[in-house]
Amino acid sequence: MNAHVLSKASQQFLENLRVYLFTSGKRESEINDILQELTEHLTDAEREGKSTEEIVGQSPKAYMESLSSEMNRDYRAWGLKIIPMLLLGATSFLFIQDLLQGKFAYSIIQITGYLLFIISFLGGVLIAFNYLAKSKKSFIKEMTLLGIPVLLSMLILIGALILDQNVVSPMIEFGIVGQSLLSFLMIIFVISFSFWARTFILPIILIAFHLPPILLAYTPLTTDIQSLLATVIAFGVIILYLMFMNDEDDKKSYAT
Amino acid sequence: MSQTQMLKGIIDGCLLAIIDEEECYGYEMATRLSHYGFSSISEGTIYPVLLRLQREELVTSTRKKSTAGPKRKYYNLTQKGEDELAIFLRNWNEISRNVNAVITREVAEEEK
Repeated sequence: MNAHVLSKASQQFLENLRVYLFTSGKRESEINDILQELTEHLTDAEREGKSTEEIVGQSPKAYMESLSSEMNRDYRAWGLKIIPMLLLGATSFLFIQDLLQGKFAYSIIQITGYLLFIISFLGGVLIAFNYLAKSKKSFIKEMTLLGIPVLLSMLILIGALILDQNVVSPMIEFGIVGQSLLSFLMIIFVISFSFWARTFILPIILIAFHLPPILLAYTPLTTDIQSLLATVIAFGVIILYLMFMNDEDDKKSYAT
Repeated sequence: MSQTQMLKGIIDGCLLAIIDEEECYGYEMATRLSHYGFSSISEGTIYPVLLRLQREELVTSTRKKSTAGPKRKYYNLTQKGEDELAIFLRNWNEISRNVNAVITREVAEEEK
């Protein structure tokens, strides 16, 4: 039998379902199972000329909820794997810049601020994704909904940093041994995170943001132009990477 | 009342009966349901039900090659599932008898 490539509507539904179930904390093996079964069903149905709607009904949102309510939450994986991994991933991003500049002393307020920022950022974004995956929203609405947690967490961080400048709190310093140890742990973490998440997005982002400024510092350009160029290069590299990965994904999946 | 609401629970029994007849995979079940007249419900409805039946250990599943070629997830009844089917059939017969009795009496009164 010929390979059948699923319609855009079906692909979109499966993709949204995956995001919805994942952000609802369902067990990964169960998510993969049901997605495979639905992919097969949609493939068979489309071969016989049925539409996505005939399978998932008029409200994909209601259908996703009915599937989700029959699936088990995976508290262990979330508690022990996913949340710590995401927290560490975000932390490594925040601290690697300081690490490169050799600055490694933080006040208690700074550390608390960073932690609150990371927790509110990730929590907010997860909730937003969970909500967005269920139903189709306009691009502007999606961006607004995602923007709220990002903005709120930024405000928390900025608040903490302003507070830090005005209030003296105990400092925690890392000596040269501590610095090297943390750098080493960070590198190990970034590498293992990439293999675990099967994506190189974290190192790509880290390199895209941190390497260009270092290289540009050797050029005769003014600092303003340097930082502008660095930002453009960083986003350019990340967007190119995402576009490239998207292409790969399209080629790989959905052919049964 | 919409059909979907009325069918809650009844679909469970129908799927048990279909699987009891012959082991089959999701798409075949959906096709059979619509073949027997349940064409207004969307095909995907069976999957939340199958997830529930599996969790309650009424059915088990295995992946194997289908007659058409590619691998599919086939469902089988467990002993518990067969017992449940027997209970469903007994309940259904009683309910349908009672519902019919109520309806025919109403019709009879209207005709007076």
